[in-house]
Formats: sequence, C-alpha cells, structure tokens
Amino acid sequence: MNDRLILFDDRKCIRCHSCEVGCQLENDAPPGVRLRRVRSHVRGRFPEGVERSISTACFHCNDPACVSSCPAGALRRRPDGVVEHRRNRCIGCGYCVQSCPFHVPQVSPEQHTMRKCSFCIQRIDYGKKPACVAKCPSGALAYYPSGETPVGLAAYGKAERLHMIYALRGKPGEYPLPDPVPLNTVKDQQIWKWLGGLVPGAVVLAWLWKRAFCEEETHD
Amino acid sequence: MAKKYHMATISRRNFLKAGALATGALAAPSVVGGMELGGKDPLPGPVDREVMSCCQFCQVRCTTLVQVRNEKVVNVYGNPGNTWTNGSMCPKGQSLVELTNSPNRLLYPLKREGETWKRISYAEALELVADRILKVKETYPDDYAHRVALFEPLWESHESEIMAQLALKMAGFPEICPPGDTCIGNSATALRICLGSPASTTTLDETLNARTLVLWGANIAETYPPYMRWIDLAREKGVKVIYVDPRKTPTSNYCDAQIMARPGTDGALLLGLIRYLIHENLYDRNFVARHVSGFKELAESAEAYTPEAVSKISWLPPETMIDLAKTLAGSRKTIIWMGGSLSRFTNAIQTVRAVVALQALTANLAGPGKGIINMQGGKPGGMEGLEEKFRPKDLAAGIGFRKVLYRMIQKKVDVLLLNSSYRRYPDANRVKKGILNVGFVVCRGFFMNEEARLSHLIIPGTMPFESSGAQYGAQRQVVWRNRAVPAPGETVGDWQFYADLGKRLNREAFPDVHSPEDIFELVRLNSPTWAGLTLERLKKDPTGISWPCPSEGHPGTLGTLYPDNRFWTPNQKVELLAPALGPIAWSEPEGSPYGDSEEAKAFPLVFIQGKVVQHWQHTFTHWSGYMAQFSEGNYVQVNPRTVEKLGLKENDWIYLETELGKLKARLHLSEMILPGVVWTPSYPGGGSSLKENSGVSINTIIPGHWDKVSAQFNGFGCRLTKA
Repeated sequence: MNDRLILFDDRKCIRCHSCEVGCQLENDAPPGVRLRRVRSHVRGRFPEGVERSISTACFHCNDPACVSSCPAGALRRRPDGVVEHRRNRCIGCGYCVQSCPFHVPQVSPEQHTMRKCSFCIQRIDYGKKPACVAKCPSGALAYYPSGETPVGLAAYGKAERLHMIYALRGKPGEYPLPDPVPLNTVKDQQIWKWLGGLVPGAVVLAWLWKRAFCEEETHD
Repeated sequence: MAKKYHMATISRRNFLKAGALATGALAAPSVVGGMELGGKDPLPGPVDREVMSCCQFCQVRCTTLVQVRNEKVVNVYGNPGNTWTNGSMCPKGQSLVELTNSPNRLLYPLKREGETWKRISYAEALELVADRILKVKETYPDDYAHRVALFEPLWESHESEIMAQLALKMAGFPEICPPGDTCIGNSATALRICLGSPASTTTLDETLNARTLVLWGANIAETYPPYMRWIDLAREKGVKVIYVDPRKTPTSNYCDAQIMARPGTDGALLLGLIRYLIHENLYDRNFVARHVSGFKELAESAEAYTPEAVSKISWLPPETMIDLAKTLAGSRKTIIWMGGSLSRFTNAIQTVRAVVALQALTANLAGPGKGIINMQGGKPGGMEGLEEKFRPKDLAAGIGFRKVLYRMIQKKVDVLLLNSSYRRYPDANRVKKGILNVGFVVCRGFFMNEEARLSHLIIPGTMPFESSGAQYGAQRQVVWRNRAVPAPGETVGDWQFYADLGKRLNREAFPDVHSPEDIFELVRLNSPTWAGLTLERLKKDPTGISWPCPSEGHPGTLGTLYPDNRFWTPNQKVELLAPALGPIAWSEPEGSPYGDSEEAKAFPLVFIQGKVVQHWQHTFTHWSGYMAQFSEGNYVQVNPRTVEKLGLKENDWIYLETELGKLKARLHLSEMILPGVVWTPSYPGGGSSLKENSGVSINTIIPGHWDKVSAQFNGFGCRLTKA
C-alpha cells in the first residue's frame, strides 16, 4: 500500500490554529489536549523581522519507537505508514511518552489514555482528507494519499520516510523540529520495560489471589 | 448471619476467574486510577447527517456542513463546494460546536427579582417586553420615539435585522443603533458618498486579474483567514502584493513589500501619493475628465502634501512614498483592499475618500482587476423599497447612538433591547452607566455575561446551528443556513423574537410571517437586487449567489459593481465633492500625542488594537475553551526600543494608561511592531469562567472620540508604567 503523507508548507502558514481545533473536534480531544500544535517565533530585528510558524503533530515514523514500547498492543504501524493508536486498548501507562524521540504522545488527564495524532484514519479510510488539512484556510497543510509529493520538493523528513514532512524556508534547526532526525534508538530497551511491568504485576496478582482464595480457608 | 463463601476447590468458574486475574495483573502496573480496560473504541463513528449551513460570524460567510449524531452537533466542516473558502474554516467558526453544546448556556428566559433570577416562560417574557414598550407610548404620547432603543448587531440572520427594524420602526421607535457605529460605518459612508453604494466595488476573484494588490491596513490572515488562499493564488500569478500596516503579522509573509507608517496617517500618505501623481502627470487624464467630479478641488487640497511633509507626518522616508506612487502609476490594474482599521480613526471618512480619489486618478475603480474591496462589503443594497413599504409616514428621525447614550444617562430611555455587547463601544464604562439608568433592559444573549448581568430580563437566543436564515457575505453573496438541530429549552432565534414582538406591538399591520423563509420571500419580492435569489436556488448553492441578481435566470453578479464606469451617484460620476465634509484633507486623529493638544503629550505612545484570529466577539468566543488555548488575557505588544528607557522587560506586568484610565497587562516585546506604537488585542473582557479569555475590556479605557459616523479605537495617546 502507498504511504500517506501530510506536507506542511511554512510559506503559507498563518498560525491561525484552525488545524489544531479541527483536529481536536474530529478526534474527541478536550481543550488543552492539543494533538497538533502550531508554534511561531520571530527571527531578525525590526524592520527585517520575520515570523515563522510551524504546525507539528505525530510524525508517523517509519520505525516508530512508541509501537515497540507499548505493553498493551495499543499502537501499531499500518501498511500505509500510519501509526495507529487504538484507545480501547490503551492503558495510559505513558511508556510511549518516554520512548518517543519527538515528545509527541501525551496522556490526557480527563481521558486517562495517551492521545496523539490519529492521521484521521476514520476519515482517510473513506477517501476524505484529514481534519487538519480539510480545515487549513491557507493551504499550508496538504494531504497526499498516495505519497507522491510535488517533484523536486525538498522537505524535511522525506528522506527519513516520516509521514509528516515539512517544506521550510529555513533550516530545520530554526524551527521547533528535531535536528538531525533521530531514528528509532530505544527498541533495545523495551525488555526492561516489560520486566518492570511484570514484577509489580505479579505482586498484585498474588494479592488478588490471596484475597479471592485464602479467605475461604480461614472460615472452613 | 453466615456469609456465603466461595468453594475452596478450584471449580471451573474460579479457574476462569483466576485466569482473568492473571491477565489483569499482567497489565496491572500500567493501570492508572479510574482507567477501564477494553470497552468501546472511542474513535467517532459515522455521523447521522450532514446539514448545509453557514458560519454566523464574519462576512467571509463560510458555508459549512454541520455533522449531527444523536441529535447533537458533533463537528463542523467547511463546505468543499464553496468557491470563496475552498471548504476551509478558521478556528472561530469551529468554536460554535463547543458553544452550542456548552453547559454554560442560558436556555430559559430569566427575570430579575432583586439580586436573583426567576425562570419564566417565553410567552411571559414576550408579554413583559411588549407591555413595557406599549406603556412608554401611553405614558409619553408626545415624546416616546427616542425612549426605546435597540443595540445591534443581530448576528443570527438577515431576517432578524429585517424583523427588528420593522417591529420597532412600525411602532414608531427609530432608535436602532447599527453595528457600523463601532465597525466600518465610516468607510461605508465614504463609499456611498463617492460612488453611490457602500459595498465593495468588486469581488475577491478579481484580485487574480490585478497587477497590484494593496492591503491597506487589512490583516487578512488574522481577520479573514479563508481569504488567504486568494492572496496566495494572486502572488503565484505574479500580482505584486503591498501591505500597509504598522505591525508585521502573518499577512506580511504573503507580501512583496510592507509600508509601516504611523497609525492614523494613512490619509496624509494617500494625499501625498495623489499630489505626486498629479505633479508628475502620472494620472489618467481621460478618465478624470469623463468620470470624476471635483478633481480641481482635490488637486488644491493635496498641494500641501509634499513628500517631505508626508514623511514628517507618517515617519516614512520620502522615497518609500515615491516608490509606492511609481508602482501604482505603473500598474495598469490595481485593487485596494481596505482593512477595518482604516475606519477606526476620527479622520476615517476623509481617508477613505482619499482612497477613492487615488483609485479614480489611476482609473482603477471599475473593470476587471480593478476596484476597492471593503472589509464588510456585503451589506445588502436596494432594500429601500421594503423599508418604505412598511415604515410609518410620521416616524421620527433617528438621533443616533451618541445622543441615545446621552438620553440614557439622563434617564430618558425606558426600554433598551441589548442584542450584543455594550463593551463594543469606546468609553464602555460610560455606556454601562447609561444602561444602569434605563428602566427596563432586555438582554438577548447566550451566556451570563456582563450584558446579561446588567439587564432586567434575559431572553436567550439560539445558536446558529439551531435556526435557519439567510446571511450575506463580503462578496455580496447571500447564503442560506438550514437548521441542523432543534433549539434547546425555550431559546428562540432573533427573527422569531422580533417577529413575535412586532406582531404584539403592531397587530395586523405587521407582515404575516411565520418562518425565516416567509421573511426572506418578503425581502426578495420587495428588493430588486435580490429578486432572482429564490430559496430553491440558495438552498442548493454552497457558495451563495452574489447580488445584484435581478431575475431567476440571472447567475448573480461577480466582479465590478459599476460596469462601463457608470457609478450610482446622481451624476453617475465619482463624486469627490461633499460640501458637508469639506475638501479631502488629513488631520491628526483625536487625542493623538502628535497633535496640537498639550494634554495629549502626557501620553506619548500611539495606541492601536486589533482582533486576534481566535476571537470574534465578547458574547461568543469568550466562552470557548478551545479558543482559550491560544489566549492569555490582557497583554500589549511593543518594540523593545519603545521601552528601552522605561526599564521594562519581557513578561513584566505593566499598566496601560490612557487619558480615560488604565488596565493591567503583560508586556510582550516584539521586533514586529513600529517603535512608538503600542498594540493590544481587543478580545479580553469579563464574565467568562475561562481565565485565559478574561481580562478588562480594552474599550473601558478608550476615550470616546467619534468621526462623523463611527467611533475611534486607534491612534490616540497612551503610556506604559510598571505595575
């Protein structure tokens, strides 16, 4: 299957936050849980000052650290490159929060699960654009369902096969983007996290077992 | 009593239970408080229906598809068929989903009883209002006309405006204070005087045919975000985009050049351009001779604005003005897009007349790729027939907001219908004082805001998704909004409240209307410019149809309003003479620190304010948590050079002081604003539970200076002190 891509063009962004709100409404995220985020900063002195804005969300890495760190199997990488998060399986443990090199996942305090960009699979699977792209008033965000972007486009993240890519006027380091792109480096550590879960788990199991069965013996 | 205990042996049931426990325990370390495992996937399922609607806020008038699930609005998307917006939306319009479902909404009429509120029925509330108004007529048979007033705007629909006008005017009460008073009344008036219609002379699609597009004080990116796509298309086509604004904004990124003149000196700059074009013989003599009235007078009054004089006034180097003049003279097709800010100075009418004069000199008023776009260019024209048909012959002439306010303070107004925020007026505390002196204040609102707290009776309104109606947009387009969900509680739309009130006040004389559709037909059949806009056509059209549309087969009119350079003035020429206003000239904005007034010099910085992208009006977006994410209460933006000597640092708390008062705000230093100028966002206000949106209304410290038509919000003096 072809990889899905969302391209951000910073020449067109007007930091209106429409993508953020559109994303939140579509993906049931309450105010404060921002799955997409527009950040801006000013470079240069008056009168040459220029404001640059960037809209970022989950990069949907080709080799996602979050997927391998998830103990509940809530995260998986789909064949089209989308890193899918299934909230009904998510246990809100926050391992993905720590493992993601981009600090993308966040735990929603009201919803008790991790929240991140869903790539609006509930829309793209029916041939629609993701909410952020559909609502962007200036065309700064564009959706390429077949992964083919304009020819010759130099975009941050394209070579690394991220699925959110950025056409920028400046260098990536001038934006709130990681530079250089870190690839998955945390995979090796995952076994410790599993063990870290098993030990307290066994304690709880023992306690529950005791409560369920030992009580009966004392009264027999 | 003996307890029932489980069997000790491991039965099948216990075995299963143990298995379940084991599974649970494996996951246990990750289980956090209150978490449930499994359950329904919260990814939203398909919606029950999508309803064609439109946004109620600004005049971009995004048509939308409202998504409804279980009779609840769950989301809203732009209608992809809309040519003007391409299906996009700004965050303000999206906040309506949250606002419609907000637990803070008022759903039933409330009557003040001392310090508390008593819930009453809509019928009782209506009766109360009608009785109070009729009593005014009885008590003061010779002097009732100005004792009942209404503060517009009526956001809900065009039908609401019509119904409110008819209900009060037919009963003999002319005081309907229009929203233009605090908006762009000045530029609409100037355009009407010069060209015959208050509307934009062209539509947005013509920007693609232009050679030069001047955004004069028009920060499109933050005020009309969906139109940015058009500016992007224009720059891709090679249109030169010039932006006049003392601040760099996201719009600046789309422009080839930015001219950062001192706020309020646009008129001087325009007259300087006019003088230069005349002196260098760079104007279109043929057009001026045939289509312009008052050229000689214009040339005389522009004579004083030499490049040096303009440079001194506007802080721009003389070359900047000369370069701009050469660019405009060399461009065969120029569109000037005027921002709302141009209207918000006391010299605004003259400034807008100068814009018209400049476009007239270069023959850029009518034709493809030429014209003037006004921020709210869509106000319907050709409604005079309808008004005349119903207006009583003996209706007293209106005295306007300022005199109404004076009467309110004198306790000479008995009923006030408060439809929108009183904080929209300058010197808002004085307006508040006036409202407190009114015998009976009726608030048509949505939330318990500062207006509701001042009133004696609250009759809550419907949110836009809960009523139907027509609305007009900046491209002269009319769109139809369908009701998506039923109105909750006893909320009623404005059209319904004013139709009900009109029937109670005027009995059988009032037109027999029962739905927005009825009212729309009434308007259409009495307005030649809307005659072809049948409901059937509108309900199908995601873009809307632009008037004039004189017949049913007519596609609507895009592009220039004045084909063949025939203007709607009495002599069909561009009328640059207006005896009441005098020659086109520039004057310092009232209260400016650079004027003659000595008192004003105590406030040496120039104050300007502006809308931010996430806020519309106090009455609505204030209550949205999604919008609060991007807000931070009162703050000011200044250039670091402005506060160098004051010893103020980024994020300091400061007092923003004007001659009227002061308020506490955060200081933000920015390289994006002209030194000597202080900018502050206009959204903060009280009432909302969201602290990010809350603050002190800026208009409480804005001195009440007015031009002929509308109020001044910018350009006067202020100062900053450490808090």
